[in-house]
Amino acid sequence: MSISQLQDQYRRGEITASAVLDQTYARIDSHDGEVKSFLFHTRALAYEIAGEVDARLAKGKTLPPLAGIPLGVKDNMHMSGEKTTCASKILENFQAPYDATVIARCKEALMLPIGKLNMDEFAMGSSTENSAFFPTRNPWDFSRVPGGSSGGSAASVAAGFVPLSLGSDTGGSIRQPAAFCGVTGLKPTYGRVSRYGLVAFASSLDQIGPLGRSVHDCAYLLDAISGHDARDATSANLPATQVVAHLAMSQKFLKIGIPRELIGPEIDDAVKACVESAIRWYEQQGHQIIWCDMASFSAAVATYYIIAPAEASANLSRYDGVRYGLRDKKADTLKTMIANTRGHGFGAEVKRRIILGTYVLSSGYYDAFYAKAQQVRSLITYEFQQAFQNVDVLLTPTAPTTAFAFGAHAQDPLAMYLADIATIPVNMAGLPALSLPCGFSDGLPVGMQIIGRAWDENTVMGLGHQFQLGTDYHTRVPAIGSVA
Amino acid sequence: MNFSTQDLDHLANLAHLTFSDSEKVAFASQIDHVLGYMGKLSEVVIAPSVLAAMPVPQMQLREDVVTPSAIPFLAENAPDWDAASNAFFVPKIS
Amino acid sequence: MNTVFETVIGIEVHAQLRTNTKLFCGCPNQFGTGPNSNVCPVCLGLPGALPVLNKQAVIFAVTAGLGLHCQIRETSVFSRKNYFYPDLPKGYQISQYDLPICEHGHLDITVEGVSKRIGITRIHMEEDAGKLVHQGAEAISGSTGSLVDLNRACTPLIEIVSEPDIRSAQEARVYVENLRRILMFLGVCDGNMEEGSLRADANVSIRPVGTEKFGTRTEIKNVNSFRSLERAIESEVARQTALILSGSTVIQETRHYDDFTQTTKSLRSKADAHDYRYFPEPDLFPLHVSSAWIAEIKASMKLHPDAVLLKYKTEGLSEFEIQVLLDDPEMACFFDACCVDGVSPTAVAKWVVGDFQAILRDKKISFSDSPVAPAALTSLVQMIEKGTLSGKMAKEMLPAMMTGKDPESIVKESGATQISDGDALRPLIAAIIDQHPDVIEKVKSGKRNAADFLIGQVMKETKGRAKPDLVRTLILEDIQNR
Repeated sequence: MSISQLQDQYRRGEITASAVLDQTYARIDSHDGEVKSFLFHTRALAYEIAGEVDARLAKGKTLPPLAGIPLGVKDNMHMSGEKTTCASKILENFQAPYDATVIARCKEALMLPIGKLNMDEFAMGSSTENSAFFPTRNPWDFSRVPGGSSGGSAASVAAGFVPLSLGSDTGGSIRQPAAFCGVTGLKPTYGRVSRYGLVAFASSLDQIGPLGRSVHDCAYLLDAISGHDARDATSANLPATQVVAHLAMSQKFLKIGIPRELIGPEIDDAVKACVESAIRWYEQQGHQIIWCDMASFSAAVATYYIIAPAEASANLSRYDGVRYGLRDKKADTLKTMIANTRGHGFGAEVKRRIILGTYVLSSGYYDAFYAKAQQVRSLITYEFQQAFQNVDVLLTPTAPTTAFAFGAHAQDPLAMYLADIATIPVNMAGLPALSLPCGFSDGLPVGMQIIGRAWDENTVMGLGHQFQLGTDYHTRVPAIGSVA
Repeated sequence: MNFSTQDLDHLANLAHLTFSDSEKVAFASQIDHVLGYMGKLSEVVIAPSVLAAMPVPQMQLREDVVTPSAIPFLAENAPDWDAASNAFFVPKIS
Repeated sequence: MNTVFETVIGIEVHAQLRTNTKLFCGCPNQFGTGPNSNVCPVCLGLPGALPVLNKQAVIFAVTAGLGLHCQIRETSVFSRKNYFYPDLPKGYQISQYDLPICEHGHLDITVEGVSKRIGITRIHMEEDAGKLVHQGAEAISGSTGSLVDLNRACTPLIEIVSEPDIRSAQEARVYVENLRRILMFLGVCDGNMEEGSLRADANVSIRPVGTEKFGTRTEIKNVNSFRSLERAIESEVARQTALILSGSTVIQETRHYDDFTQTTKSLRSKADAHDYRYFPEPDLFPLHVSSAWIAEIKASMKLHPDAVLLKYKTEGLSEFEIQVLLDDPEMACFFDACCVDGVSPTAVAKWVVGDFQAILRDKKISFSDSPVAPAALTSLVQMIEKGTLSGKMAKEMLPAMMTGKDPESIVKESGATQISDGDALRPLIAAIIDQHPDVIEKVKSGKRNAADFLIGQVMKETKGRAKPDLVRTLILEDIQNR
């Protein structure tokens, strides 16, 4: 059911928020045992807010647009009084002492927080296999991964458990699982949404964004969570977006750029075919297609896997067993305690990236790796700026393949990293980008990505919305029970 | 590029991490592989004009006003809380 | 042949800034009532918390830079300095590294009449760490564990790094004294060395006189007074000299000064190589300080000690009073607060530098903690100037004022004002003269000093409240008229 349909039902008094919650948890209880998208539920809080919504409805008060809408939250955003585990053993029992800004804003909007969603540990990964607790399955094919790191966020929407969820995206962690699970996901412009209360992976790249069944639904959530936050010094001094209002306006004719580098041999033919048919669809609507070159993209993955681990290696130093989280209680000296706590508390991928990050920052290697990567990052940003002088958006596949099988990249981290080729450059330049379903291959969803100028979520989402008004890929659902 | 288990030991010491012996060999080879791939960055040539064109965002400052903040779960979240002194206990430093 | 060595010293001073809040969060910039009572998600390094820079801390850093004749960088950058220690909640310290806020300054010192300019390499901003209390022993060694208190974590510091221009322990002392005075007069730091608001580390090396190349240096920490700074440097120079003369070499290391043994000892033999892996703090964009902002800060700056000196000279204070005030910025601050319109600065200075300072010193109270408000001391001085009180009476009132009472209410309660009304005194004076005809004769025969005896009698009868000058005049008048 779409947000608009739910809103109508509330308006007409056909449903109550408590009843919506009952149905939501009933469906989760029946089917999430198979999908495993939630790490835990936040029933008490959800029913408390539902009570507030119903009380206001009973008094005939007007409600904010997202009141009574269920929301799933990636387990790296703090919800005061609930756990925040980041799917890591090191934070297994950590109780969040404060609300992330996005959570505070969702509570203010009277959304119903259903629970915390599975993810790759500390958001490091592209398959949710790196969760310390269990892997999440792709609702379209249980033998395949949902993508990552926001795998739980995408799977919970695809499985029809929640209409909206929050994810975070550092190198594609919203868009790639959205593509793998056949849902819509947006990485906003860096600085659009406050990071306060989001457990940091790579601070200069992390951005929170919405996942939902449609661009229109995602727009509601973006409008609710965006806007300046004085507690995040990198949050832009701009008001909240008004994308929902923008989507109601008629679509202008745009220049759509297609980077040759991202439609080449590294992209699966089936994926390429779906994206090419979407390109033709846009052409038929009167938009102009312009091929362009983004030479620096070939260096983007290497750049990302220097900068992100470097920042992560410092961001994760606070997990030292001193103030919170896991501690090795057998160690009798401080250094042993810290090293054992971290050695046992972090999973393999997290340790790999800490080592990588420590290496690229260490004496003698900084200039060749970290400093050089920052320069290449500037080059990537520069190429985007140049491209956007000629086009309004760029359109690419979101990922080179559809969802892969569990264990496919277990022994080859680099192969997994290389699959982020289309999403990573966007984070490097801090731009907004949307992933939306554009077809199917062997029963698995294919996603395309629309990248826009900084702060131009309106154009990106407007173009995505137009596609969803004319196609039905986003309305298709996997065969789990019967999705309402 | 030749990343050895000794290099891994050095970095693990800096990063306060431990690895099992079997992990070490696999990790060293995986990291060697990744670092080899990163070598391609050295081939990228960047014009100074590109770097000069980058916008530098402005620092946002905070007024010097006290915002009282109590933290719930300080003791509950602490792995070893010394309730008598209201402090975190850590094992001996060396 | 005896080699003569020259000492080369560079000083790093950490000064805690007098802001209301911490550097990156809104927690009060004070140590709080008990351990961990003054903490929030940011300064505890909780996951998801983010730093936001305190504007006033930037103003203070720029102020210090201007006071030390530095160039202020238009763009400075915060970096992360990575290391693990339980008093460092995030596992990194946010500090300025390669692009500090102030550079290329200087400070002039005068030692034994010789003036010298000491270069200031840089001033950078950084956050302080928390505090550890070691259990079962005084220090780390021998302790069974430590307690972590993060009240001090994230409090704002500036680190002022000098050029290696200092050549003796005495110069080092004067440098830090002058620096402290400037920071205190500019209101940037409270200068309290015992409490650690101002900490000086000395980089010390020696080299044969006439050579250019620097010797291997050691860094001396844990110096918490001017006296221990001098002693620490002297003992370290002696240690290095003995090492070199015996054919050994100095190892570059950090050494801890022990005030009790008056020696330095190696802090830790670092098997761990330090590699702080500095990189720009991604949670904070570069800091821009525009020339307009610098001008604004300059315009609202408090007086530099050099300007204070000139002011005191024009106010007519004595060389001695000026020196005492410049050596104690808290006293100077108190003095300035006392000098309101309508009271003479020289009269105030006599009291502040004299009897009032003596009573505070006696009770071991600093001027900043004075129970007597500047306004109270001002009214005391004004009462003397008006003749309501004698100097002696005023001095006797100081202990009562130390309880916080103002002089007016003390006078009201005791009725102890000076009697300066002639009509009130004349009958008493006449009666006393009547009792001493011999004195009348002596005075009349020209021995005017004989009247002193009568003055004493009048003072005795009035319990010291009569105004002595007036009594003398009235007695002589009375005798003349007989």
